[in-house]
Amino acid sequence: MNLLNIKLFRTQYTKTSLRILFYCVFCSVVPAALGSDRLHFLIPGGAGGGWDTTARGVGEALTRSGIVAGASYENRSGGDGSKAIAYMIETADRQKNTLMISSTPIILKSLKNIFPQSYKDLTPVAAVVADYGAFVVKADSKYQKWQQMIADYQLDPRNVRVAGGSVIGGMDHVVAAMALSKSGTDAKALRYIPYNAGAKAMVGLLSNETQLLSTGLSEAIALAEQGEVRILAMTAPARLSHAPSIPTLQEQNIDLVFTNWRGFFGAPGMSEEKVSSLQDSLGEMYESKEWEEIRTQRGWSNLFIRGKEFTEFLQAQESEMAILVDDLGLR
Amino acid sequence: MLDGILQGLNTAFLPINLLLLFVGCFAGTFIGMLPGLGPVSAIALMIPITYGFDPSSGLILMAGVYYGAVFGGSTSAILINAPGVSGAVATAFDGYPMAQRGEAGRALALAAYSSFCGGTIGAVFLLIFVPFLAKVSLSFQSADYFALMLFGLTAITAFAGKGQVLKAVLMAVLGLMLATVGEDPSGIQRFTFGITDLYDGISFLLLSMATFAIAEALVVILRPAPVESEQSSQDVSFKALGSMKLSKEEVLDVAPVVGRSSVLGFLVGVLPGAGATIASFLAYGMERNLASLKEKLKFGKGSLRGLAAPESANNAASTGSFVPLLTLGIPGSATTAVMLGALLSYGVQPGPRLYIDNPAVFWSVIISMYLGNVILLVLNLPLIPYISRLLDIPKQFLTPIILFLSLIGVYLVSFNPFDLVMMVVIGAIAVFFRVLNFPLAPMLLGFILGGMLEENLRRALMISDGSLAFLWERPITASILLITLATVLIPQLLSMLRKNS
Amino acid sequence: MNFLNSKNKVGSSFILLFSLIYLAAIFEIPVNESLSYDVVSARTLPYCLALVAILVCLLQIFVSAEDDSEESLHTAIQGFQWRPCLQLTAAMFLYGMSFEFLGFLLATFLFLLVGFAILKEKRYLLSLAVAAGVALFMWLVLTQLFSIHLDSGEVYRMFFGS
Repeated sequence: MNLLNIKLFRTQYTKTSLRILFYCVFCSVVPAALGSDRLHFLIPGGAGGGWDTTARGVGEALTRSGIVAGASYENRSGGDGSKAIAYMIETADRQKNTLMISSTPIILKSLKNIFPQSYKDLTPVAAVVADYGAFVVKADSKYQKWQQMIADYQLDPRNVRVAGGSVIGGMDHVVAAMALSKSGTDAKALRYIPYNAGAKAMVGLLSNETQLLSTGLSEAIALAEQGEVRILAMTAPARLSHAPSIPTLQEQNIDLVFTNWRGFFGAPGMSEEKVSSLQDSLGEMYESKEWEEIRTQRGWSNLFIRGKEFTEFLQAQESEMAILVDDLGLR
Repeated sequence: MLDGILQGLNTAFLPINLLLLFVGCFAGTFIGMLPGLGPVSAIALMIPITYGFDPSSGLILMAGVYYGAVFGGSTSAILINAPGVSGAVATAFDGYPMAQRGEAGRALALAAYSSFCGGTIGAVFLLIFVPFLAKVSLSFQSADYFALMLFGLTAITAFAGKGQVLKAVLMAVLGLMLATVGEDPSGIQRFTFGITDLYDGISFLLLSMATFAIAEALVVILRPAPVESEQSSQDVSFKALGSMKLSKEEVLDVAPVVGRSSVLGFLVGVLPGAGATIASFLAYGMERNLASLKEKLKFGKGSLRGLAAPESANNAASTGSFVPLLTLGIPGSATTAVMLGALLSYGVQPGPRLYIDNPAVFWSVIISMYLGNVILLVLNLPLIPYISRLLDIPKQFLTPIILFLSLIGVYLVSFNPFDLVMMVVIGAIAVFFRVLNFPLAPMLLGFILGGMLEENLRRALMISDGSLAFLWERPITASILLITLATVLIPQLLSMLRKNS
Repeated sequence: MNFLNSKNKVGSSFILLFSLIYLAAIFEIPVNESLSYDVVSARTLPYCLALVAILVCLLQIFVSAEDDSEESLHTAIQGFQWRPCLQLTAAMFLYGMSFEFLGFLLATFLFLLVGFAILKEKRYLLSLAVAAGVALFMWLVLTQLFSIHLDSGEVYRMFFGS
């Protein structure tokens, strides 16, 4: 292709036009079927990121199981995700078949008034996958149980510094603070050490820089299974089928359930039939073996919340985090 | 271990896998040549295509794509001063001047050989030291990274010509200042003036493409063309462009550079908090500091050493970055993060157990990566004469096309039209600096180190409860800081001694 | 040497101006009082940087005689072809501004065509062919081969609907 490309410039234009013709023919082999049951995904971040892999995974499952005819993906990063929200609102009239992927941090950012627009301006469709907060120590750490760590923290918060893959006031910080506060300690005294990615925070823990790591369960589970780290607790409502050995906070008498959902939103004013037909498609995908395959490969937990419940769920999560963000003085 | 290696070799040499490797290298090179699209985009684009592939075949295709994209990035850095990948910025410093002299073929060939050697040395290190290296990649804490970034800043002197030290420092500070735009580690927006497009900060790619590719293309237009008989120069340059000959002396001259830079690059690459870009800058700085006075002057003007150093360091570092990925399952960079995604989608879960429980998979990953490196050389060497003749396109066509490719390359990463406008503005300012003879490389160095410098300093301070004791309490931090001091002071002392005598 | 003729002084003044604006903007950065353990605030590093930059600029402008011997700004820019350079910059600017409205294909085609014309390419048919060829080729490769979504643009929608 390089070669042809160069010749395209170098040869005279009679040949050029021939080559263009060749490419047209060549590329028309790749079908570009345009139909109403083609879905379009809007991804607020770049290729290869968490939002991107989830949206592409869902799109892949939908097309391979034949539920939709095809899927296209549009990455629109910028403004920490707020550019995509603004774009959905501005171009609502032509985003009839568009699903924008989103997740918990977007609620947090709306809370902190970082974004000019809120997720509330969009039409919630459904949550599709979940991740839970996990509290991780090194395998050789003296803490075996959550309460042991709490006892040490109460002696001096400096005994337990917490690493996380988000900025101060970001999700990993807020989840850790929530858990500490529900355990009856002063979450404001928490020494949270920010890293710019979950993986970097994991390195911080493994290199003995911090004593505890607050991260997503899916990011820690592989290393826990291989015996490098131990997960003291996680924030799911009950033990998970793919990780039965990891205790929840609830069973350690800490009343905290926290779900980092990933789900889809439609443009503002999306018609109700459209919303429910999209929800049906996603529900149908949930039954397919293609989805099961992609989901297990990626280590995602199933979480399907649709319709009114999704809106209520979002509201509940928002008010829960709002209290904490205010307590920490982060707003 | 040997069993695992043999098994890996067997799988890799299946004809279908070799074919995939070729296809991958080819596609990767093409994608990588588009400025802006690097290994991250290339792999992300390829993952859906390889759904349903046999894991080892998928892996091999990825390896080809990966190395192809890295080499493609160097190609555009050398030919049109458009480093499409951040690791290739330092390649442009001397690669582009070489191409300007009409030695594009030689520059590309040297880049190909250096990166091949870097990859090979990296792979040998992997082979021998794997179990030990996991510990190395966890030995660095924030304080040590802070010291390393400070040390990186000393490379500024490498970009400062005679009597330009103040200017270079000034530009580096400018870069550090630009790096503070966006969200800081404590979640506060700085210098965004309420513009959402600035919330994520300025991307390194945008800055380097604007100050290198766009500014250069504009400066070429700006400067009056030297008067010469067009016909004869055309003929000479056309033949010379494609030539890839390196003399024996040149090879001998460059060989130790490649060796040193590869080792340095590999070690830096192993650290999950550093990466290939820093490795290439460090290697460039080191080589210039080690070079003789006469050789020093050639740096930045098309020195073979100045091209070989960052290229081999870059590739060795990329290989090194597989250490934390494969032994711990921890991706240290955007590239390894997307590689992790690819590995997971083939059902390979990297981590400490992989090496012990499943050595065949472990080695087949490493061997496919290495084969990618080999095939790339085999595939691209014959293509170099053709690729380098791209420069033979008349200027009035080439310049707008370069400008278009640079703009679209940045757009294809962010898909934000605001970036296009920002790039033009930065590009215009960069032309202004070029005219005034202010060096832009220190600015990029300051920019890339700035974010990490602040982050690590703040973390180190949080961990030490605000005390500066971390500067001398940890042996790694202290020794890096000592080396930094020595690098700054020794040349000064030497020149003072010289003056006295 | 005349101030406006020294490259060093002109460049340093420019950076000085930038640093002063930067310094002023630091006071807009909120400081989070509740984070007492973060001894370095969001303002600390910018503050240091601004001071260093201002200091070095002043040194360059008033004290340093660093390479004053080099050619003056006036001779350096002799014979510069400002017109095509500015025109190209403007064309790129317009390309960025109109990208969403015109869409990739049309915007790129027009940009290349204008670019060729600015650089005095007289073979208009060839220009047309190359501009169309490059735009189309890139569009096909990106959208069809790599299935990257490129916005078709307002203009396209005006004529063909969405």
